[in-house]
Amino acid sequence: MKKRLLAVMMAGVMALGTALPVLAEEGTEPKDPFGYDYVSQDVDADLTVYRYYADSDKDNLDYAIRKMTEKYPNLSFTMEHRTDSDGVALRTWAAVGELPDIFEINASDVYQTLKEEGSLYVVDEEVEKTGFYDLFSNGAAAKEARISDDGHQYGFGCEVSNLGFLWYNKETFEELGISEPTNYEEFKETITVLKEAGKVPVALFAAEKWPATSLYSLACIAEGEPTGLDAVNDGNAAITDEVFRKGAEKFVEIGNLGAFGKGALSTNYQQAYEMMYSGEAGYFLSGAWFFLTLEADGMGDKIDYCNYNVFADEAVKEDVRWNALGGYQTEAKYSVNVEPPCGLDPSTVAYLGLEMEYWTRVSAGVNGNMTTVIGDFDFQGGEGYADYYENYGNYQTFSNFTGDLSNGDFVVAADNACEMVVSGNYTDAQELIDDIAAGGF
Amino acid sequence: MNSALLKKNRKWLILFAAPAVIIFGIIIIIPLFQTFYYSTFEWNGIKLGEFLGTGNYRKLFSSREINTSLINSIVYAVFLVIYQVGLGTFFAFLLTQSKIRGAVFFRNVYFVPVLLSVSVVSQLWIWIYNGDYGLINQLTKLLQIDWSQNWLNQKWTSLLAVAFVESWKGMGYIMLIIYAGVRNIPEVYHEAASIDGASAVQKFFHITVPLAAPTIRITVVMCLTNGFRAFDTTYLMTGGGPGIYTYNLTIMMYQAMMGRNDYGYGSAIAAFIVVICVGLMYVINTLTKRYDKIYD
Repeated sequence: MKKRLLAVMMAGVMALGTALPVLAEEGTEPKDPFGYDYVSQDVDADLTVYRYYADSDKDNLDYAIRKMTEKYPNLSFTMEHRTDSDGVALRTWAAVGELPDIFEINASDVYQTLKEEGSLYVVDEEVEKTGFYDLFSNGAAAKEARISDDGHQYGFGCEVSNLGFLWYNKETFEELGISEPTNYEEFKETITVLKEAGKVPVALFAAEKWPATSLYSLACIAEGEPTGLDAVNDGNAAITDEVFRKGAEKFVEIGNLGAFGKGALSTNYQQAYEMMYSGEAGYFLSGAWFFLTLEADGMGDKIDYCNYNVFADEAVKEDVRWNALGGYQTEAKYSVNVEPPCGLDPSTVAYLGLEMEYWTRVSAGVNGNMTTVIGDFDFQGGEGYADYYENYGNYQTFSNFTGDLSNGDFVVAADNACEMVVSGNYTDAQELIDDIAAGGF
Repeated sequence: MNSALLKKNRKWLILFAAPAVIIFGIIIIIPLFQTFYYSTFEWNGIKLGEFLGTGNYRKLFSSREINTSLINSIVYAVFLVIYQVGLGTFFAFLLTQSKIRGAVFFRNVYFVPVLLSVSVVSQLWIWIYNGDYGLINQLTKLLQIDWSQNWLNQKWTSLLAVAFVESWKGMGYIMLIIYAGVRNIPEVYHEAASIDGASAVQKFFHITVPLAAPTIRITVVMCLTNGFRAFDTTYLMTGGGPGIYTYNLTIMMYQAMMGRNDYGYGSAIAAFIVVICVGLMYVINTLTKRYDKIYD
């Protein structure tokens, strides 16, 4: 009896411990906008959900699961953590007919294929009835992004994509007497100073291939192509066009100045961050999700991002300032299996999916992608985040991080060519252009 | 086994061989035929598309990466043979010599890298090779030798650096196989040679190597085919880069499937790798057939 009492008490303390941070932050328990209007309290099923289920996302999802299992006592969840970033797991499940009930689609080609195959449930009605997107600060933008070219919504998600920035360590810059660059000449000067001080000027986690290619895309944006390399990926431009050649010249020039460490191609995200964090490196390319790391590490006031495109010439820097690297929206996010293996009808699964997403966002609060439940709490992201929050609405065009581009052939060709620049094997912009052009782009 | 005995025990032979044959068929033969089948289609991994016939193979042989990948695979495979079989044979011979003290200790030491995870070994060597902070470049600095190399970023050094790691990791395994072969050589041959006044070198080249030839042949086949289907170390250390400097056929296959979502093309590359490996095995076995009945 004593043991049982102790177990119950411990479970209570643990549950309270995990719930308290959320409750403390929001002050009051958020209202449930769904009620039992769409799904019966007696719903009885085990819902398999495939999505990113680690780091802070795990806490947020656990919160959502707790809220929902309290509300629907016979409902349970089996969470499948997404470990890949290219849709391989989903593709494999789809091939053998074992898609989960709700799944995160993180590759546009997989989304297109599943959509064409009729594997995705159309959630128009469920989204409309619940007024799902009206619950979020950026709901209008998120909804617009989810509408397919045939006018239907094959998934839901209140997130909008993160923007990409070049981040820098303010303390390192102060020590070396340099400041945040606002144009290309200043950027080159900082690279030279950092290099002479024995530091790696730009810490690229080029073990993943996209950061190097995205940096080239950023240079192309500075030269006047608002969507950077997206234009070539989509077949709307050729890599031999003037704007991409000029972008290549700048990208190669900083390579020749020694911007990248010799070990860049073997450096992963954490190592690159540590290099900047510790002062071994000056800059670090990453997305706005990095605000979460800064908040967790208490570095919000020590690290900032470059407000201007560092590849832009002084004369045009204001013109290209609001053309973002990243931020492009894809229709794919969270979709519902048209034949849910849990046995429920897809409409009920869709309602449950929407509700789960709502509670996840309640727990997450504001973060790098500016998603927040209307009327909820603030995010302590430091001075840089305050700028970002203020300026987010100014961005006029968005592009893809190159890892998210849809044309695999182009991505492989561009990644390989940009690696040659980062590794110091290409010292002439023409080599970079010729290499990508040889792939037929 | 003579034919009468074989006939008598036929049922039992079939019974005992059946499980292995069935499992082999299910996990090797059927997928192999599927690979060849899919290689003739446009396939995105989910839905089989248009029948292309030899289209994917024509795409493979006209691709930008095929020459580099083939050359790299050959260099890689030859490097493995030289390092693993060459050093493996040498060490196996040394370890069988009674005069060597601590033979068991050395045998275990050489085998330790085999036990390590490939990801651990790759990460370890990435840091050893690191151009900025790597052990090798730091040593050259310490010795005041101006010989700092960007090991994993240059054309040939990157390929050879990865091949070295794979060779280093697997040498102990090859050595043990050869060691077992060398130990099986009847001692009388060595004793007779010693009585005739043969030196250690003469005994090695005229007794050990010829009599261990069937075993060595197997290890050569293993190293060559390993070289052509090597993937993990290369993928973990360079991802095939910089550019396509360390591309090989398996990296090409991976990029086709995971990077380009072109599973049909990837299947064609996989089929080509199978053909190369089976072909190599056949050629080596034919060329070295005379060693089969060495003890007869």
